Amino acid sequence: MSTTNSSNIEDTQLRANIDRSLRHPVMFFFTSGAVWLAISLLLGIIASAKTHSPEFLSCCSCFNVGRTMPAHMSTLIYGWGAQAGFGVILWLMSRLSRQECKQSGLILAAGHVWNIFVGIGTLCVLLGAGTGITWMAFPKSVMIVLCLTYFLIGIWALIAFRVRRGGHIYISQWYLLASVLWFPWILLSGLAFTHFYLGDGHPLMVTASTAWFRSAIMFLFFTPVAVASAYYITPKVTGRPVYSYSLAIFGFWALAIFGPWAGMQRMMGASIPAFIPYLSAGAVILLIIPAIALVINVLKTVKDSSETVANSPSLKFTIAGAAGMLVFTVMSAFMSLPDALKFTQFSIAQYGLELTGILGFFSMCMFGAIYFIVPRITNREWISATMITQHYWLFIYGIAFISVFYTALGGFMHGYILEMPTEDPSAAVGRLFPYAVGLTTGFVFILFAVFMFCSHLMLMWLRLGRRSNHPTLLAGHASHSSPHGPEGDIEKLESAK
Amino acid sequence: MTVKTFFIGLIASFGLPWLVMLAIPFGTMRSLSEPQYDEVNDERTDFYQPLRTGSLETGSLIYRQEGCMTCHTQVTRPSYAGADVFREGQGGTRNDAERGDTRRITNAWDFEGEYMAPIGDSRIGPDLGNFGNRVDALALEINKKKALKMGIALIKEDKSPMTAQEIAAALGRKAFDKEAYVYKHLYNPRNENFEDKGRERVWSVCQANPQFFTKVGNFGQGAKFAVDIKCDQQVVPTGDCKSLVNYLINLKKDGAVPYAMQYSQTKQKGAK
Repeated sequence: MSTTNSSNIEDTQLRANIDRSLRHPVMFFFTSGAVWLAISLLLGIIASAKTHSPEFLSCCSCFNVGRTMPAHMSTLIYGWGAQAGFGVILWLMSRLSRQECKQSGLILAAGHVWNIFVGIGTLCVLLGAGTGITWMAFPKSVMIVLCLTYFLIGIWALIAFRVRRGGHIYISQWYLLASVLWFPWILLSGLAFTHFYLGDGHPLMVTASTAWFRSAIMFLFFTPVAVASAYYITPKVTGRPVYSYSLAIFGFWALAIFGPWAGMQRMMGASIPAFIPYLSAGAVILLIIPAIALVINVLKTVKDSSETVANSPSLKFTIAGAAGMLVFTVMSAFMSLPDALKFTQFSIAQYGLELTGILGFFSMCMFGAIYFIVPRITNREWISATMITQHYWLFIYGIAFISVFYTALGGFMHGYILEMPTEDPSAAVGRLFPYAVGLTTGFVFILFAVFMFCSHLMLMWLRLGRRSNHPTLLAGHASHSSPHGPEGDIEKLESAK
Repeated sequence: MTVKTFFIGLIASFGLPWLVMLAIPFGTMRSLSEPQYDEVNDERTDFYQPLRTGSLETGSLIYRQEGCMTCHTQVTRPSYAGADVFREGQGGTRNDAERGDTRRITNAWDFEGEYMAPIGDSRIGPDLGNFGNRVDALALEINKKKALKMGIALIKEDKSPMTAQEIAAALGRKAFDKEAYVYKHLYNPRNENFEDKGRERVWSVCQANPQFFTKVGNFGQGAKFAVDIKCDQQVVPTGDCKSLVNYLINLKKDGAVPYAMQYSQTKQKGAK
């Protein structure tokens, strides 16, 4: 009995040490990521508003759609997505590998460099000095610095895995490890095929490589990080093991095998080798498999835990994220069918799909992880359950509206007009009006949600929450049966020490 | 699953598509050889020589930097991928006065001279692959009306119809100015002072581009391409704007191609 107690104390001490070692870099990534998300949404609102009210902010050319749209996507990907991913990767990998981070200062410094260069890149895009390459709109020099900075951040996740304690490797670790390795490969490939070969490669293949890059970042970086988070949060909060480890491994390999082939369906009809877009379309359809594996595992794991689901914000966001992944992959598959691609290839559906993937799937999983991680690394409970609930519902309403109204309905209507040869293409502008207004409305909902989240997160970093190492529950506080252990265990331990 | 299995699987699952989808096609397409004309169908045996004009380097760079690809595409897809070729003016025109049916799909040589193919993300605005041809067609239509109004006969002495260049030459300074038209569009797409006033114009959501124009003093009648003239000031295009306009009005992806690459193989034998 005493051996078990001593082991528990050691375990608690180790977890507390890991959390403390990562407090500043992880909080920095989450907070700055949340600020970039708000900036990205503001830019998205401007871009969207200008598609239905072109005179809006027309005094300043830096707010033109052609500049705000790439700035909006770049801040969403490199400002929010990448940084939320880095924070989750570092914390989860350290926790699962049971290793403290020894170089948090270096990671924090790299995080500052990352943010400074995302800022410089965004300004360059807004001032008309971007590259115009979708998802790689920052100038080449900025992209190179971001790539180098990533190595200073990602290497510590690899080191934590390399020196891990304990024999078992969790499914989340496989996903995280893959994302850590895929990300630089994708980034370097993107840089090589677009920037360094610019002028040497065939212009169509340069464009094709950017299409591949977008898809690879989505499926091979954002997706594995989000799935890893879901596979960590779900069993942790419910106190049950993942329903099927084999199914999770199967989902992982399905993602690893099909993910890298996707993306080039966006080049359908262009004069590149004809098999490429078809192979990509097939791969996108097959990417439903990892989504189904995740959804089955998450739902089966939380089965009979409806009270826990209702009370845990982490779990609510994670389940919504898993559902978002299913919606995203099903929509991607449908839109990649060669017959449907005729309508969707150049319609607004593609942008809506990207938003569904990044906001409806990835971001929801990241919010789930952040609501779980932040109370642990700050030793404070979230200040307001109401703010979390409002964040959840406003975000859900916003992204659901964008997915259903703008992406599915608007995308089809737009594609239908484009496929009518007798219709003047300018007629599409009139048809797009309600959907463009709908997108702005959806963005406003999401911006309100993110404002709640962002301010809440900053207050947490100021450590204004109630002292606790438990996650905030939406109804009442942690019970004795909580899988996170009794309240105040870490404080007791620290005072005893 | 062991770490070794993981790494082998990861490298194989990522490396193979990376080679097949990116590296090999990229290398292959770098040295794309031009197709040869067919003696039977084309009545010539030389190699296809794609012709591109305009400010391809600076103009296309500004086109990308200003994010025109967000709303405009530059591709006419084959019919299996979309109905682009059937849309009048997009892939060419059905009844060109000199060349007949010029419609065709976009080919790999249509982007010659550009760093990357501005295929585009969406078609919120019209496809610009043949924007230059559409502006030419608009110029011809307006010039014909002006010529008729001025009593200029559109038939030459040998009874053949006048070409677009001949009509423009006959009109002299009163001819429709394509560059001025595009400058005005870039300055304010909702400008009412367009020369094609009276045509059914759909309200445009295209962005105004004040960054392309600068205010200078006005002396005399004003600069040729001034988009706005007030008593002592005029708004004239910058160098970047001139490059972009030069690029745009030269966007013509309907040049004759060998028989084997044509959209309609029954119509265009001996295409010029």
